[in-house]
Amino acid sequence: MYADLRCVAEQADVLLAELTQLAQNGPRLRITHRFQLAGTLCRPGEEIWAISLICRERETPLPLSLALRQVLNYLAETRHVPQNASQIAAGMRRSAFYIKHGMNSGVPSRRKISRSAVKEYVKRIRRALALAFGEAGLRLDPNRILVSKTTMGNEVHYQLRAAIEWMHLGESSPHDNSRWNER
Amino acid sequence: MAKILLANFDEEAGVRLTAFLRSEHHEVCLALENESFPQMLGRCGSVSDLLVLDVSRHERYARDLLAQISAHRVQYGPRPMLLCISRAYRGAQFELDLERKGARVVYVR
Repeated sequence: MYADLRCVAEQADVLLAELTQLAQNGPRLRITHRFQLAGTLCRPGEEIWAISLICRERETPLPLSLALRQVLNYLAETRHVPQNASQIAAGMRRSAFYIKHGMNSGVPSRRKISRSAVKEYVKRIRRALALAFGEAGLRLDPNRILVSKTTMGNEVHYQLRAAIEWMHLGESSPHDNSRWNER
Repeated sequence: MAKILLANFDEEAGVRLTAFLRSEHHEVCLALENESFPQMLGRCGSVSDLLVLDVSRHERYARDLLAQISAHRVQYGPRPMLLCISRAYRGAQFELDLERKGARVVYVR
């Protein structure tokens, strides 16, 4: 019985490596931008096309509306610094990337993000993460991925704990119009 | 060195796999017959990295255990990872059900 113990041990090692990665970096999210101009990366005018969870090299799209994609992209960009809802709204209001979102397509797709909206959007992003985790068979609590941190006052700070990679679909080259960029 | 739990194994297979994994420098704890997941954690230590479950026998117990572990992982994080081993091919649907519970499946002879 169990002539091939080696294959059990190998699978165990794979899972233990995955566990280490999950514990250190959190789950992997892939953010795809499109309408990129040649020679530019994450510049104003691009559109956040899709955000997906990557698990076992399978891509599970997160069911997010435009405003939620924008907020999650912002949280991913600034994931090293926890911020409150006002800071997130202010950061997005002042960023040319969000002001000119999708402009390269000819029609901008902008959303006005307010402080109170951020709080609601955080809840919706967590619900979307929970759905994607369920679909991918990852039993993770979305509250541990999009974390709410208490402060000395009554402010709550939000921080995304995930490994993020940005992918660009653009017009940089007629032969290879997709480029991978990890930031 | 990782901490590994083995559950739902018959005695001979459990002892062999324990010896093999120990030779790979892992800390291994073999679950008792029909032991629940909280009981396992109480006996073997509250933190384990991986649970290897034989789904070829006592299917109802295996499913109950999977449900308990899934609930535990949602509450406490990704530990333990789940590896299900089966001695017989049970079809794609069976494998998919296990994967949806967060487990990986490996077939052994």
